Amino acid sequence: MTASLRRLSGGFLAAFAVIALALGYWSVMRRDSLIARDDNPRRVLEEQRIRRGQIVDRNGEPLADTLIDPDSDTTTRIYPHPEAAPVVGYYSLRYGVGGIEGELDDILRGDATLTPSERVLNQLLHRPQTGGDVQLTIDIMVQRAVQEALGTQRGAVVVLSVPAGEVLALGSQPTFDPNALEERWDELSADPEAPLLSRATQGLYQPGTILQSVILGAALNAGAIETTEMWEGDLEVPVNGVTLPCSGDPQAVSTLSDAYIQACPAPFQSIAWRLNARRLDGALADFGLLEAPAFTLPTSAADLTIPPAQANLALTAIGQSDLTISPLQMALVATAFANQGQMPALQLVRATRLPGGEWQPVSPTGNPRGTISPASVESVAGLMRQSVLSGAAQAATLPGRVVYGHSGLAIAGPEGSLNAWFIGFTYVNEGEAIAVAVLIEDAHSADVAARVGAEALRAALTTLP
Amino acid sequence: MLKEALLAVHGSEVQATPWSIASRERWLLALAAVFTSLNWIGLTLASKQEWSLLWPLGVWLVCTAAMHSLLSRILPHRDPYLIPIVMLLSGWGLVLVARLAPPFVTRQAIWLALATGASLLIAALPPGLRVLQRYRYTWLLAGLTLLAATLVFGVNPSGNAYAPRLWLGLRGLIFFQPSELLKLLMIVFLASYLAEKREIILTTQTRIGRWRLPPLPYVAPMLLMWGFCMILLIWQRDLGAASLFFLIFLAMLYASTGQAGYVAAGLILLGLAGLLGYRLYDVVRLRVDTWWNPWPEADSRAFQIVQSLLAVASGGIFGQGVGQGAPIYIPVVHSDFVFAAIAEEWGLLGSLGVVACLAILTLRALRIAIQNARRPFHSLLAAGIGVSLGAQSFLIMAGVVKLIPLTGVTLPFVSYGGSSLLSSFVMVGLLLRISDPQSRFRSLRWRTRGVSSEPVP
Repeated sequence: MTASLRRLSGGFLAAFAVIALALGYWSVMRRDSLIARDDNPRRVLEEQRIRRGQIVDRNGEPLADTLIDPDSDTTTRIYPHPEAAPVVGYYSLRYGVGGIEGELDDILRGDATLTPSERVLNQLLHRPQTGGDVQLTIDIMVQRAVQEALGTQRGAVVVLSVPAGEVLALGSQPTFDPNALEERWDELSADPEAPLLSRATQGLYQPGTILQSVILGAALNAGAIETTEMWEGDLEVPVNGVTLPCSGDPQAVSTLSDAYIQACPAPFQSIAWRLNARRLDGALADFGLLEAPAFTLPTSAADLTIPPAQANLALTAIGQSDLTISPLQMALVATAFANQGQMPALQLVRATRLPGGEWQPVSPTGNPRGTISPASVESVAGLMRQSVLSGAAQAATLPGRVVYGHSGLAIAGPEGSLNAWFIGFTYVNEGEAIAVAVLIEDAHSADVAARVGAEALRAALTTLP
Repeated sequence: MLKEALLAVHGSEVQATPWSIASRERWLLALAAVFTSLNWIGLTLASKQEWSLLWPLGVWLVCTAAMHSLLSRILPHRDPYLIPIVMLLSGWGLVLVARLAPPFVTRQAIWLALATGASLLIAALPPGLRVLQRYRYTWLLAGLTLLAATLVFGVNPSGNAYAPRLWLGLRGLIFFQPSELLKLLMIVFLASYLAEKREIILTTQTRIGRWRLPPLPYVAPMLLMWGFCMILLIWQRDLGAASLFFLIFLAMLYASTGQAGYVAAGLILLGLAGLLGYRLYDVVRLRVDTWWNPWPEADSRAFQIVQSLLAVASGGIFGQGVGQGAPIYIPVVHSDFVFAAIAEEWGLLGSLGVVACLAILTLRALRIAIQNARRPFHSLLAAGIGVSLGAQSFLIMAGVVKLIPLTGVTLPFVSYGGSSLLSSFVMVGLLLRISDPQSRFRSLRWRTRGVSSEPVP
């Protein structure tokens, strides 16, 4: 019996040794691959403990904040101003990140500033990771005003300061409430009106007659035309059975200037032909319309294999070719006319701050660029003023303010629905201006865009010093 | 290497003096008390609880002191490693219940006190173990009756109508699992029967051609009784307990006869039973499938085992620290998966510690069996207890680390569960009693002089 008992002991010892080996296998050798599994709830828990940094507007007003539940030691992300969603984006454990929350995730989480040893120490001591803060150039008052001005209309607004290139507002409708993102995700992501898309930076639209400032500026710059030339031909252009109309009053057109002021498309086919396709493409490139703008948030541009005017000069002249543009690109065009032909580099993030540190300024994205000569700019700007006073952009009039503007329409689809465009600016001080671009989808007249543009300018003028 | 390790555990045959046993045990218990107290304090700090919630630690300290001081008088020559290991594990278990299932901690503390009392009673009771040996059929039938009662009156404390009803309830306050008692009584029965018949079983053999078979007339009653147990357990769908009973039976048969053939035949039978169970029982199919390849079903059927492995991985070598991991993601972590929680919060060091404790406990029990070779009943009883504790520990720990399919048995002394704690403590009481070579004379001394701390001359 003793011998069999000894053998039993040996058997048990071996069995327990195998368990010890299996423990070592799972907790040491397979450790990293198991911890990294998507279904490891500890990752979510770890994520929930991160003290994500604040996102504040230019005046320090919080746009995204982190609440800490002292009992569970977990955090909740809140957005005190949901109207900033087109810029700020969202943060969700389930659906990831978007907008500034996504682009500056490293800073907001604190990953960007942690050394590997700090990371290990944090893990050992169960210290929650603390992220940095981000200050935007957005002014929440302006942002709210443009969102309210858009209201139920689908569209986008971009408000820029000149010459700093600071983005004061990026409006987009329809939008979403980032506080209720997770509950409504399925609905939001399936919605054909794409509320999660930031139309201001990523929406690509036919420019239509809003392209006239660029074409006219380039033609004047090249000496191809005189604005005082008489025009007696057609004013409107049929495109695939749909008519692209004048935005203003066709009766008021007798010269090329009038054609611009009333935003009539047909004369610009003639102007473009006299300028020629190569030089028109050069101008479109100079105004940054052929590439996605360098920006903090993702931006879009038309995907073109051949320069648009060389591919189809007649349609490019009326903004109905393959060239599509975003409201942000159009806002940059507006800054050039407010700033003697100079387009500033864009700035959306003003400063960042490490936990417990001081605000560190951030440089603008991309480089400023020149477009056309100041003299040509001055001629076009004079006509933009006329356009607000007596032309297609009259709806942009602000009492007591000198507003420059231009309105346009574009055929948006085969059914012939029209999109309305507006670009404009007004001077705040000597050499400083506010520039704006507006797009409204499915509009019956260009006035709706001009009105929203005026509201955006008014809001910017009242809140800025 | 195995031999050296065995020698280290069995130790030399140097006769220990009562003083050195008491002091060795005292030092080990002091270490266990330091460990348990630090963990309680750590848990209280980590979970920001009231300090008054430390009271179960007090219960544990009283139980530990009672075990040590009372048994120092009654069983001065007992094995000095049993009590420290058992108290360390049960203290750890109490911390884990407070950590994983706080509402149950009161109940578990009461069960610990009851279990300690029962253990002391068993270790010190005047009548000798002969009572157990002599009335083996009576005891086993009583156990079977209780188990059969669960077929009629059985409940599940969770209230789940579809869960196996393995418990007997008393006004919904206290639940008892008769299979735990039956396990102990079956060990007693087998030890008694085999002690009496092993010579006959070994000497008279039936031969069929080349095959030597055990003598049927002598094996039959034992197989019959054991078969009753198995049928009842399988009827109850308590398959973890059924496989444990089977392993205990095989090991005790092997211990008494030394016939490896029985073990081999038994393991083949177990495999066949497993195959049959796989076809008949959904729960067996689930356990086997999720053991073989849990990853494709990590979010459905295999959720529990995958979460268990994630917990083990999360612990790493040093662990997350008491109260600071996330073992609550494992379903029923406080009973079946308590070992995974240990691995997460105490790391590889902690889980290896538990493995070592249970291995030493098993080997000490088998050592006691070897030392009592001249008393077959005592020896086989100690061996049966050792095998029971060892096999049960192996089944659940190996299940948690995906070495074998999961069996729903508890981790002795550590898991939440009163019946399991009680029966494990009673087993240790028996072991302690058998480990003291002079316990044979105690019942006599008790009657004449009462309790005496003086060593017998």
